[in-house]
Amino acid sequence: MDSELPIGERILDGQGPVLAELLELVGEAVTVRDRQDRFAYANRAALQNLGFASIEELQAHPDGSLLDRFVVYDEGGKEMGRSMFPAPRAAAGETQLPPTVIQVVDRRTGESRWEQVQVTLLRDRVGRVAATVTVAADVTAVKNAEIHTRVLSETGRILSSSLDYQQTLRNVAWAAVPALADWCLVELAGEPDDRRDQVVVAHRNPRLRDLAGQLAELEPDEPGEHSASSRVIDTGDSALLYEVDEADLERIARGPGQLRVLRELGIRSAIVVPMRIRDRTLGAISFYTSDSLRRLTQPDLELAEQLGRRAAVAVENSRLHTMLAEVAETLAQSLMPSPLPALHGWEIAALYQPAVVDERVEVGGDFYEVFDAGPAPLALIGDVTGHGVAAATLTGLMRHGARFSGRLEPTPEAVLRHLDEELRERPSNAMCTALCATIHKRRLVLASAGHPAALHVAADGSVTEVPAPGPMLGAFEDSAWQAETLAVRPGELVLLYTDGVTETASASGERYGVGRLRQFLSAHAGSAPQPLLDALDAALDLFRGGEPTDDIAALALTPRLH
Amino acid sequence: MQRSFTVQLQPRSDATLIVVSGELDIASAPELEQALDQIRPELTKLVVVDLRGLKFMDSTGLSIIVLAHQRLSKYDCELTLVKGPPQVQRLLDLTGVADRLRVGAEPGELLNGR
Repeated sequence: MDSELPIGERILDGQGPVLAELLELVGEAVTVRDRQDRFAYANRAALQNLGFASIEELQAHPDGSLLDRFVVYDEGGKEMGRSMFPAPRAAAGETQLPPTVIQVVDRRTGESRWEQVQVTLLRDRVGRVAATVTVAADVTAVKNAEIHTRVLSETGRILSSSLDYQQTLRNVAWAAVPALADWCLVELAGEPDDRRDQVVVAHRNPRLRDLAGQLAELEPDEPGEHSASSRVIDTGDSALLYEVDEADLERIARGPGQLRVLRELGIRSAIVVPMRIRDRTLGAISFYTSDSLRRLTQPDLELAEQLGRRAAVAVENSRLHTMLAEVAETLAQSLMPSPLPALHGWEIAALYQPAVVDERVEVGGDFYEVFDAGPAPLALIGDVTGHGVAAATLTGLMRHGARFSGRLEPTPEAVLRHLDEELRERPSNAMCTALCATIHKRRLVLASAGHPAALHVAADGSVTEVPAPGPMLGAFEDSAWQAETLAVRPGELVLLYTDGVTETASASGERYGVGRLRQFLSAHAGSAPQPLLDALDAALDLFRGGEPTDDIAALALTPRLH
Repeated sequence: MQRSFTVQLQPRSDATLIVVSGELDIASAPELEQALDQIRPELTKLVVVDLRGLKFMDSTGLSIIVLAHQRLSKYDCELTLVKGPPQVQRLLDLTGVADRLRVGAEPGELLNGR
């Protein structure tokens, strides 16, 4: 093989004119470079792609790499230098050069093309590389469709991955970078007061990310100034700026500060789409190309619009979720029992065990509240009929109603009367049993509204029930209650409880009952409140053999010695 | 846990008899509520709920009875109860329901009492 002859000439001579004509007709761009990495041959498609009229013109071009005319990216969007091209790699000793997909962007026009490139090495007798044959197939349409699908499916995944509002905004910004655009700005409609929370920036170039981020912090110099994104937010129509010139930059910018930053970022092409749900525009997403030199086109706009619609749903979901989570948290906080206050001369402890339904804790109808009502502290324990949010809301009404009326008229019977009126005024038909006690020096004054009586445990273990019950709350028109006084000495204990305790059912359906509770209290005579309730909790667990299916609430009080 | 609850509605000429049995609690209360909702107070002036077959009643079951009493009394329709086992009676006593509603030992006593 005569390696001194130009390789292209030799192939053409050897294979005859049929192959040569064939090569001119195929759509693939075929080029041959010789040992010195000079162009030896280029078919019509190659010359057209590279922008040359003839092989002579191509050969005369001073930069053989053509990197002065084109920017080349690998599939991951990383810019490829000369050393990553096939010939230098072959020269460096690489023998296997698998087909690669590259993106070629025309520096002058910004047009971009995806190519699948296959390089074949031709060797001479001693095994040196004599020539490289490059066949490049245009895969732009396939690649764009693939990017389209990937961006959208990735968008779906990214956007549904978080219900946190701020994180969702960041995810939206990053969904299209770098596949669709070099950087992206997400803006929400609304007042610019908290603009920093309303704008998120993503940029493929970490060095420019901070600069782009400044856009978020630069206020418009004149309020109401019309930027491209605010126009999109107002009209709901998207915009494609294929070639961004100085006049466009001025339109995009919200004031001179932003204009400076935009100039520095060097915008080539832009798309602004609304984030829309039905008739409502939540904000706008701006996609920009700059340092990749790519231009955004109509298919990019269609992808961007789809992205905008998906992003709007994700943003709205996360906004609602964040709001609901806050409401639920606030509600749950308000429904949990308040902490017990320190009581002068008394030791007090509480047990509160919400029911577990379908493996979920259900805030239910049992409640207690202990607070200082003025002349004496007041304790209230009760059970609103039913379960779930409706019952739980009423426990809130009872607890806060007791605090209110306890300060107006701090006697148990008055508090029960107020709560009864409160319940009967509501259309919910709810009923409630409650036991109310005012706490004095070594005595309690108690009144019951259909509630299990308090149990007084003497030092010798004898148990008595106090007081006699009155009608339950919310049930009758003409109810009245009477209070009873109970003396309690140190070493004695009083237990207030809800029927969740005595109605605790065993696996066989047997109820714990008042009898067992009295026996338990006798056996624990002399216990302090907290250890007693801990032991009761354990005893009920043992009896039940599972999660509580009904609420349990209990208060234990004992006077201090001094 | 074995849970069984049944409710039977037996219309008579000028009264409605409702016979319940088993455990009347938060799980079964809706069944009784449904039965009580079927009563047309324009057509019947007396409702007797027979509690003798109950094994257990909780406050939800009780509130269903009280709510029905509230609704029916607006039409001059009286709701009465046949005394159940001790646990049920204790609940009626405790909550003041036994004082407000007529409670008899058997249905005949309430039906003839009119």
